[in-house]
Amino acid sequence: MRLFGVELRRLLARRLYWVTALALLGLLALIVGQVAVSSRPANAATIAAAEAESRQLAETARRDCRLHAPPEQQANCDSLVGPPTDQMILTFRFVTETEPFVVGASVMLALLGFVIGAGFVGAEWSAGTLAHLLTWEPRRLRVLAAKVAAAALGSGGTALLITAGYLGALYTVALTRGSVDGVGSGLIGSLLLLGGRGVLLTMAAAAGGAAAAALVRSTSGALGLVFGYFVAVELVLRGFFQGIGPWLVAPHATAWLMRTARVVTPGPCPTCDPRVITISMWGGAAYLGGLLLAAVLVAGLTFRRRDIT
Amino acid sequence: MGSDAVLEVTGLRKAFRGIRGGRRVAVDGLDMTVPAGVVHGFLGPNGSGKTTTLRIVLGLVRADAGAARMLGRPVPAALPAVLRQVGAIVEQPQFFPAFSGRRNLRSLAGIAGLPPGRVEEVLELVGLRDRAKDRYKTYSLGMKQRLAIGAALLRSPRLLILDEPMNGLDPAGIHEVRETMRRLTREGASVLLSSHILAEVEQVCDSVSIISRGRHVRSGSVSEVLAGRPSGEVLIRIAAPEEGIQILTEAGFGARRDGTQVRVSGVTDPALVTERLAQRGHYLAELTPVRADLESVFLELTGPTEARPEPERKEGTQ
Repeated sequence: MRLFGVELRRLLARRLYWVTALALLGLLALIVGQVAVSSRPANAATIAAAEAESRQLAETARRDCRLHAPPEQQANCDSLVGPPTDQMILTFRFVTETEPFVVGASVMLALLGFVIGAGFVGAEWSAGTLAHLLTWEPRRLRVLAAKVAAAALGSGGTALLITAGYLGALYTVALTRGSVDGVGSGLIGSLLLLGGRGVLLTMAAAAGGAAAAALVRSTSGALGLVFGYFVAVELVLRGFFQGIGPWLVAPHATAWLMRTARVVTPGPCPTCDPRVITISMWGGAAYLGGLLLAAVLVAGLTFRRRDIT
Repeated sequence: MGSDAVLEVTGLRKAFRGIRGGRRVAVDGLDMTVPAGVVHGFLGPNGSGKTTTLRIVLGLVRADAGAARMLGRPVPAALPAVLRQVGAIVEQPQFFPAFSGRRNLRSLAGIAGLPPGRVEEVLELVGLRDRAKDRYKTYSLGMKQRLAIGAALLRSPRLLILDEPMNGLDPAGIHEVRETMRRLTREGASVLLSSHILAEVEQVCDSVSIISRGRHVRSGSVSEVLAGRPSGEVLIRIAAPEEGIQILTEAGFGARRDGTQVRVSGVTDPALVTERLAQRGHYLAELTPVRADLESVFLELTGPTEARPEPERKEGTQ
């Protein structure tokens, strides 16, 4: 526990941790700001303004029609109308539009978690501090476990705060410049669960990043490993062999976040209909959990036997 | 293992893989015993296996064969318990660059459950109190070495393992480290000092082990290692040194001025020097046999300093 406390304090003192967390926070703040600027509440004033704008657009359209339409179609010009008022008012509706924002934030937080976890362990290999640490705590599995746990909990705590702040900010925007109609405990609970799954995904990514860096002994190596996997396997290889889709990481992460994911694979014959495979939330959780466990175990076994020079 | 040994290795062997395959033997059946309560020098040329040996006993590198016992317990099996009583510097230990010296030591103290007051004591001891708030990356090489020594002293060790601790230290720092080692041994602790500075080892160490090519060459107290290895030189003082040099040269000795004395080499029996000079009417005021120094013994025992390939960095050092 002492070791975990030391590792957690060290994680929170790292510049990379704060820079990446603040960068993501800034990006999410920009998104919220953009939503706030573009959203207008559907009240009497905005509806009246939208109706006036719609009438103006209709009048312009009728005038253009009379000038340019052939004589036989001139009669139709008077029937032209402006766009519906509800389409004129871009209102951020918390009930229907929040979920994609939270999913997007969760994906970004997971990436942040991986970078933080990989950087946390990779830096120790690069700086050569690990050898010195092991002369204080020679139980290597304990050392690695403390680092993985610190990366996961540190990133998870950050993700929790950012997700909560993001949801709060979106709700505030909806309340002041959009619509919170229909918001009830069911929706709030659903969004909190979605945010919670995002936090858990971030923790898993951070632990995976730490394990990957322990395995390849560098931050850049761990980042390259994951980037290479997504490019080579999830993009290129999947393009050639669509049948591998249900076995990849991305659909399972999607299933975990979105409660379900559908993966389309080719049918059994060239003329057959494609097959649709549904991955459940718990299926995604089992896959990601198993993958993480395997990564940590392999990293632990390798680290336990490796010569530290 | 003898009851008075703080470290004993027997038959230790370690080979590293090379880039092109094959294996390079870094430690080859090494036997070594470090007695308790002394400063023990660990000497060997570059690539002789000193650091690898230290890494093995500290559990950083796995030995291919052999056994090691530290403070009476087998290592690496008992390292978690043993390391609570051991302070170690292996090569230049690295600390977290963005942390201050104090914070680095507090992190280590936190792992061992030591009180923060101990950190302040050690900072005072190694002369870093005034710079304790500064980031490690702003430290000079000497200050980094002081911090490393401070870290090694944090646990009030019974055994202090120091690998080239004088690197980067100024004369005052070297003096402080020397005094620290002596103080620790007075208090009953033991020090294993791996160093290339032979004069330093000769000055501070009570006993030494010399290794070459991963093998034990000689060990014992410094006086034992030097004993029986006469240099074949004597220093004499006579009234007419120039005439004395001529007489001795004619007699087949090597002779040259050394300050106010004459250094005579090729001497198998000092009585012959006295006899030759007396035959020509010159009488000695003083004759002092020149004792072999550790450097000459070291060079004699470890052979010519032929270049030895350094091990692959990814696989291991020395």
